[in-house]
Amino acid sequence: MKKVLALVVSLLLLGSVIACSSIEAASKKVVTYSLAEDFYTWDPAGQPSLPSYIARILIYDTLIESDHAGHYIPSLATKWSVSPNGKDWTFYLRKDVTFSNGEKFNANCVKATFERMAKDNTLAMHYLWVNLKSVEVVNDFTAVFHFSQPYGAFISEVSVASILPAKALEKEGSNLFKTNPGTGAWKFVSYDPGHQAVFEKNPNYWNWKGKKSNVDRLIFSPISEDTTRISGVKTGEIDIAGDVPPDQALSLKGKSGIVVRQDPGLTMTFMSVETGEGRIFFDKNARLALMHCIDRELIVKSILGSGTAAYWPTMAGVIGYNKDAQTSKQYAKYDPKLAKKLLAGSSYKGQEVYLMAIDGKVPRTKEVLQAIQAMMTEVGFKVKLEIMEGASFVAKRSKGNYDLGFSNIFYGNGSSLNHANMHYTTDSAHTEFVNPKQLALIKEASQSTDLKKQDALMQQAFQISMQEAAPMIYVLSLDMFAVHSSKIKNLIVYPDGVMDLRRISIGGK
Amino acid sequence: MATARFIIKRLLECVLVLVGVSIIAFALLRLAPSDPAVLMLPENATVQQIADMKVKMGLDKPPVIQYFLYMGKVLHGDLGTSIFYNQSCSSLIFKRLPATAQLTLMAVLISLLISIPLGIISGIKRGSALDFVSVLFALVGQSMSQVWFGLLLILLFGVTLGWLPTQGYGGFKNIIMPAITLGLPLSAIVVRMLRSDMYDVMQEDYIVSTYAKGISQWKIYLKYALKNALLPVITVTGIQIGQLLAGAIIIEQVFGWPGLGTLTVQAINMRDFPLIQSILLITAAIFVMVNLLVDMLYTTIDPRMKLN
Repeated sequence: MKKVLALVVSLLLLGSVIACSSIEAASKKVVTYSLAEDFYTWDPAGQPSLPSYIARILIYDTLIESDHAGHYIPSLATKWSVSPNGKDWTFYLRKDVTFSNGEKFNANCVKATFERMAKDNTLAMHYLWVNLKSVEVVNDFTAVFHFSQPYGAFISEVSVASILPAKALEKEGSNLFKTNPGTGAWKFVSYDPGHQAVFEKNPNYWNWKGKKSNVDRLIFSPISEDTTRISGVKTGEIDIAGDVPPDQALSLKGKSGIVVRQDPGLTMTFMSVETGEGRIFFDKNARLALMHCIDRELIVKSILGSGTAAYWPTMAGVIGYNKDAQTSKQYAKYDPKLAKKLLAGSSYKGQEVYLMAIDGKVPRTKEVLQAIQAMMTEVGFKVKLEIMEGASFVAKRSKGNYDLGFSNIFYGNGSSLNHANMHYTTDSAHTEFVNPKQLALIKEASQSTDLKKQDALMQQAFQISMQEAAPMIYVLSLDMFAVHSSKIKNLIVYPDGVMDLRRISIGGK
Repeated sequence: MATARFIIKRLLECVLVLVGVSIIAFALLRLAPSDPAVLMLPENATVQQIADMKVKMGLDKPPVIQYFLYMGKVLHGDLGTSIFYNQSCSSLIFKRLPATAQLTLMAVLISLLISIPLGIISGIKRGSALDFVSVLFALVGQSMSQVWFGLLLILLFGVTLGWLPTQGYGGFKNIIMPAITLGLPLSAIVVRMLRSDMYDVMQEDYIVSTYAKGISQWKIYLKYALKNALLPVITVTGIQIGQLLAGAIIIEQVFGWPGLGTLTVQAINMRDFPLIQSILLITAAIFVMVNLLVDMLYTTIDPRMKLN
């Protein structure tokens, strides 16, 4: 009898514990967001990816904040100034900020964060800080950056550099990125690779700005299959989905309870052109034939159903944009007759053009590339198309084992300087195209802290690209899509696809 | 005694197989285009940066030395550290393995629950409507793309009917669709095999004699005929568990199932050499052990079979 009684009491206790935890779980507001990719690294100075950009905004703060379109506001720094020679930047810091591990934010944290990137050449972000000589700690809340030469993209790069806790970084090294203590609106709770990452609201965040989130927990879930991710939004299992292919997103437009966000994005697709001596596209006429044989608008209308045909290397809102050239199509107009004529006048003798692409970089990669292949064939090129995964593509391209490499770039913060420096100045795509005048213009733009001057210089640099049809041929810019439940409010989706979930709420306005 | 000798012999063979797998995995990974050090750095990384990254990742030594260093650690029970997750490979794998094991076992269970009754009925009722349905099921099951089938299930039972979750991990409902999708080809194979084996066995003399003894029909089917017809099914199921483990890589992607598959794909994409090698070693070990168990199961079902 006693045993039976004990069993009943135990079951009742167990039941009440389960019920209590269920009530607690039910009372917590949880939002799940999903992307196609998982994290590569949690180190903010490591190789960036969409999940890590989004998580960094949640966990960390930056000295200044950006709207990802070239506008900046104070954040951990209350104000800043630059010396007349453009080499020294002074930042005045907030005094009331604490990391989630209890460490106080001060100028040492700024020094540790940036000098780490400048000194450790195995960090992916090192290349952005090679000209940083030191960060001087003037006092606890004043830090001065000293550069060996003026740095034009400085403000843009500072606005995405997450500030780390100096003492914890020194003590733990790379193990810090297992716990990820930051000053941000959300605290890192756990990460299970391939499954989920969990974040918890930081109720004491210094910068809620009166828009404190009413959500308690955020769960990130990587789901690589697009249909599954979107199905999850339809059934309410997933609240927010990014990396959404245009056709899937457009099919959801008008569905009750679902919001489809579509905006012109900052992602530009291009073909890097191997122009080395003896190669097919060493001949300028062959390159121009390629430029004019692609019917960009047909691809946008008939295959993607979204996006914009690119007749200029950048889009509106990005440094170096030329509206007249884009609208007049003067450099890249679709003209198969002209393309045939140019090809006939070139040294091209029917050799096979090797066109390679990364699978998934563009929606409907295969269809888009097959259309380009057909358009090139139409004017007389003989094209071999190969679509592959990213690692193989990078390996081939870095050695110049290709003729055309189809890829894309996103102009983070509306700056084209990274693209120009990476693909033009250091020729990371191994195009072997060198135009001293163009490189000088890029160098001058990169060292100017005047955004108007940067814009003018980059327009001139890009004009050379369009006239030479090298080192890149730009194809189309992609729209940015995100899909979420209509109960989610205050979600910011930037034109580069990065989502700011800090102040999201469930329900309300 | 014979059993112990057999197990020891098979375990020694297993060691040889695993050494072979480790060599092949190691060599293939080094032959694959691209370099993990390059993938961790921006496109414009200098030669010096790449060299320093290789030192940091432990990839600067000659491949043969790398192999022996890795195997030395493995022999001490250390599968190494993932170069991207900065976590021990064993903790990553064993955290994910239960999810894949659950999915695989559930797939086997569901497929056998469907295919054994269908195979039996189809074998003993040749030419009937049910036989036709079974044959059709086997044909469709073997020829249909699992990814496509999985997406159809998601759209029908997840989105349209709302009966089952479209993705995720945790509850019993979450496993139903991925397990059915994964088990579909196995069901099809077992139905076809059992159908023909049951038919053959039913023609044997000893079955005719059981009829003469007046034993009930279902007892003949299930006790006398099925026992013999099941032997090839067990072999195939054992081998198919290896296939299911491999198939789970794709199915886990479709259903967002956090098993070894998602980890493997991410590791391959980023050329995480220690992690890929360790996943291959562990899955090969599982495959070999499952086959050993199948061989042992044989003797239980058919004592005429000797382990040696």
